[in-house]
Amino acid sequence: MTRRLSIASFGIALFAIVMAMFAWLDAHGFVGANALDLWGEAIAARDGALNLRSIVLTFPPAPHLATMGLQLALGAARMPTPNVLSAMLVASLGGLWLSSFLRAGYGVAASCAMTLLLVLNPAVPRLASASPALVMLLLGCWLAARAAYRLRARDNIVDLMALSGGLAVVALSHPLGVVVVLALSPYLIFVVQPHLARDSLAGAYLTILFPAALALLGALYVAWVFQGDLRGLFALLASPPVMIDDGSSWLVNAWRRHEILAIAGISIATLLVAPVLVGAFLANGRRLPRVLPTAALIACLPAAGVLAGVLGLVNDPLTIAAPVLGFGAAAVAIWPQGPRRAMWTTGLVLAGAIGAGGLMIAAPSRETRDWLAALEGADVVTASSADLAVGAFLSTRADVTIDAISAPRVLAGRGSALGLHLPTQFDFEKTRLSRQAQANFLVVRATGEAAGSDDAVNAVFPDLYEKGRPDYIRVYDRFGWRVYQRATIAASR
Amino acid sequence: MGTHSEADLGVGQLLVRHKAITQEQFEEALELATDWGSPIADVLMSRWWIQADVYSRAFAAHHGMRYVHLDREPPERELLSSADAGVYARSLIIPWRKVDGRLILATTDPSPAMLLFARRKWGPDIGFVVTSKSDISKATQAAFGAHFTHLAVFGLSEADPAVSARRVITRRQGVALYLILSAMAAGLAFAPLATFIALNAFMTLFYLGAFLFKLVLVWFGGLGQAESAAAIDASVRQLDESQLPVFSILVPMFREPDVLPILTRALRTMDYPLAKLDIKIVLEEDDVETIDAARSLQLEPIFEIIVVPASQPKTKPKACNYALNFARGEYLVIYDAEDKPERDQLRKVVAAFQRSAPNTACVQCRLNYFNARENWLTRMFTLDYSLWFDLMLPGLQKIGAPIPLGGTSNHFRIDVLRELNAWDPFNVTEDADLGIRLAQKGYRVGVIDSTTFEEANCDAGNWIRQRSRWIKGYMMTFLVHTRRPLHLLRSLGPVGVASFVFFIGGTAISGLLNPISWALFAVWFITSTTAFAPLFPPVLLYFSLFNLIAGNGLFVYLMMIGPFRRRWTGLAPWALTVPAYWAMMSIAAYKGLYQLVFTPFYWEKTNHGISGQTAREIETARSADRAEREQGADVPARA
Repeated sequence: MTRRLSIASFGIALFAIVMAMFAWLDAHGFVGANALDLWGEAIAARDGALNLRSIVLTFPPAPHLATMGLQLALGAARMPTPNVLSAMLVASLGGLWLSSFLRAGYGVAASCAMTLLLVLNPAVPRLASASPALVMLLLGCWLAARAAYRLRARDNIVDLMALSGGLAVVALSHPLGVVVVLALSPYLIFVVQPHLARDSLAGAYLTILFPAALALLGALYVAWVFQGDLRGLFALLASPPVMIDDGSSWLVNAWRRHEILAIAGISIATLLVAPVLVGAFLANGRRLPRVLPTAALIACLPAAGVLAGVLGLVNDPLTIAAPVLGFGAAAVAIWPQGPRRAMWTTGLVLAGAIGAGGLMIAAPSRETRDWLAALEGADVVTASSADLAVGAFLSTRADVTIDAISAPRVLAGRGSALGLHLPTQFDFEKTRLSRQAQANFLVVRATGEAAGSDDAVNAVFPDLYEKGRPDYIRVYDRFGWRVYQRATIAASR
Repeated sequence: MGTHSEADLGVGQLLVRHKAITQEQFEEALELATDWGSPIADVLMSRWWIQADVYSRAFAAHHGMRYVHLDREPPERELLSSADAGVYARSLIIPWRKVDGRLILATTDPSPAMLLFARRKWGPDIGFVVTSKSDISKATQAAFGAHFTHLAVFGLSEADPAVSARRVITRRQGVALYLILSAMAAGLAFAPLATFIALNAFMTLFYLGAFLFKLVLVWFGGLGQAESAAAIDASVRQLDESQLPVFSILVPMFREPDVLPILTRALRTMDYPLAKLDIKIVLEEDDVETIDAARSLQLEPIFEIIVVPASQPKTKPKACNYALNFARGEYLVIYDAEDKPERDQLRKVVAAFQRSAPNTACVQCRLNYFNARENWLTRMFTLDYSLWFDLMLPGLQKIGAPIPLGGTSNHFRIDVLRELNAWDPFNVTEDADLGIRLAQKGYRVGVIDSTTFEEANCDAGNWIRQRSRWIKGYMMTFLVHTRRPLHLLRSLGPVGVASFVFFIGGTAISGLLNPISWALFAVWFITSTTAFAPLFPPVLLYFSLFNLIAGNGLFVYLMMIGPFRRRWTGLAPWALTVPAYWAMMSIAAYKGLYQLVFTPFYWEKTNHGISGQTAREIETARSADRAEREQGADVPARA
């Protein structure tokens, strides 16, 4: 009981640290773009502006649904809900890691040190700032890797369920997770005990992969139910909504050109984040129940990298750090007993933290650069600032027609979807059909920009951004957003 | 050679002198008697080296006592008392005659302990004659067949009518059911949409609760299994054979003469001192074919044939109740005729009882099938049983919920079984009912890692008959124990009630509701109609979708992992076809419901021995029997 209380206290302290970091970043103008998107969607769902179809079609569902649920619980709190969720997940991970290291026979000091080094590995706060989806991916990968080691070692049904469940969490957390599951699949044979494979390898595979497959097939089915065809889901899978940002790292640009060397290099480079994984492979010598799962985890990374590169799923090499760190944390627990065990593992975990920092500095995406700057105390202007600014402008205004569904960050800036007419709502549909502006405010994005082409208000009033509307006057024009107000209202003020 | 009484040694030497047994057999018997802590007589008879009456004659001769054949010279009826019928049957002593005012008792063992017992019971003016165990058993059956039958049929319902299924539905339950149905009818008439939504919500929440509960159970069931099995194994190794208790085994059979040789072989090879086995082959009086087959096998005295007089209801629990009167063990287990328990099962059970809390009244072993891969149905049945016995029951045990006992391989403390008036003969799933009654009385059921392999039903019609009986029995059990809802809650607690509702009620309810859900889904899927849309307000639609995908998917997954512990991964892909199995369960559920209304106590007999594997084994057993007889390993000659 005392140990559980200590671990819970450790987790609470971690939560406080991560929340303090988020507050610091927020104060300097940084909130992750995907976090803002998630927050905007959660606000829309809370205020009833998101229809059922939009909610069930979100992919990957785990971070979306968790954020929406938490938003309902938090109500009108002005704290980015995805950040709160990320902090909770990081705190849970810290507690779980600490507990697992203690159970693996490490001393209290070594366990605490390794947990702190893992949690404060620069990749973790960076991923947490980007999106809770990536922390979920990290958690799922750790759960799956831990279960894989246990399953290979002791052949227990609970481990089989944990592995299946972990892989399902991985697949439902992030599009990269689907790729990781696919990449790991051929190597699962190293995780399954020989006697299970002997009766039926297909049966063993099916049992392990069924929950993940069911989750994906279920998503396909739901897409079919609500959209009538499967294209919507494939579109979601092909253009993931949870990316680190648009300003890719130079490494990723090379990756996108499908340069095989770059792809392989980037995947191997991610091992810098958790060299303990390679260390565990070497240290375990001929202990096959430990070596084989480690080999499977390492071998899946280049394959996952290639698949992610081909599908264009990640914009920052640090994204791949999520599975690598998860696998690495699991590998710490299987390091063979010995006099210098804690020294080796702590050293390698520290090296991973340094490696992650190096990778971050050497090949940052635009958002990572902003994050680093904000962390250093500089005020930053991010790609999301425009949306947040217009949101803030609208926070005191109601009866507004705006497509905040394709720009949910506006809702994050405004804090509420009440008083807005969104494309998911009946009022907007009336406007679309009549092509008559009814609202007091019309908000539109610049047609020349990529985002503007998705703007439903632009689709209804193609000249609105450039020419405005009769009876409306422009009251806001910044960063590619324009807000028009009905003239009669403006005059009466 | 250990310490043996003068009498034992004397009788043994007498038998050797008269060549009833060899010197080697005598010496081995002495050794085994020491190891097993059993009388030499029991050892000699358990090894089938001597017939019971031969030993008894020798015993009588050695002690200068008279030997009587009770079937030729039966006890005087007026000396017998129905209140003592159980004593005669179990203590193997029965008043025989009155000679010059002195009560003469017939017994198998006129030892000092027996003398003391007899004096306490019948006073000092008594004498003894010697007879055989089977003679006492037959005489008791002949004298008290009707009495035992009455007890077997009405014992529970007279002692505790509230827990008996003799009355399937009480007046109060009938009124409650009528009110519920009336309310539904009124709802459908005056507010059809709201009523449909309410019913839909009930179905959705029921499914959601059922699958979450089962997920939790499977998780708990999987925790610590290896450690628990290892602990039992260690305890088994430490058991002192001479301290093992007598174990009664009941094998109720009906029209199964062919499997007798397999059964007797399986029981003889149990890793338990044979002399401490008290095996009752329980047969129905009108099943002449099986009775003849059993008698023709001329089984050794550890086997006893109990013939149950014809009466209604003709159910397995009634037969077991009847046979219980003759059981002499400290523990008792029921096996079906085609069962193949793991050889060390009885030892594991004894070890488990020794390790368990004092309120442990029953140890349930796992059931599975030896013909798992015979056809699609046997595969599905195996997946079903693997999930139930390997994961769900250990899960129920871990969370302290009542365990609906399986049909066989449940090992009881016989005193508790008698205290609870044993099985309900009117309930066609008497074991599940007994599991609930045990929990209500504060007793605990343990689950151990020892398997009894049975024959999986490989014929669809036969399977539906069997399953319809089970579901009918579950409905009965549900009705019986919900008569007193507050009592149920107090005695089982909230977790116990949830388990009772989801497992006992849920099995029947899901079987009945599933076709409705499937029909709705099929109509919608084929026609894309929007007519059902009003029945699914958003929140309900969420849950329904979740149930449809995650719930059904989870059930498929649970079936898939069921056989993992046995490493039968080859069965896992078959779990994908489980919807067809569910459809069969629904057919069985409706049949069970029909029978509950019109023929509640009808025992839908499952035919055993129809598997190809069983047929092969029967042939092998017959051949082995023939070979043994040809080699002279026959019944010992009468001396």
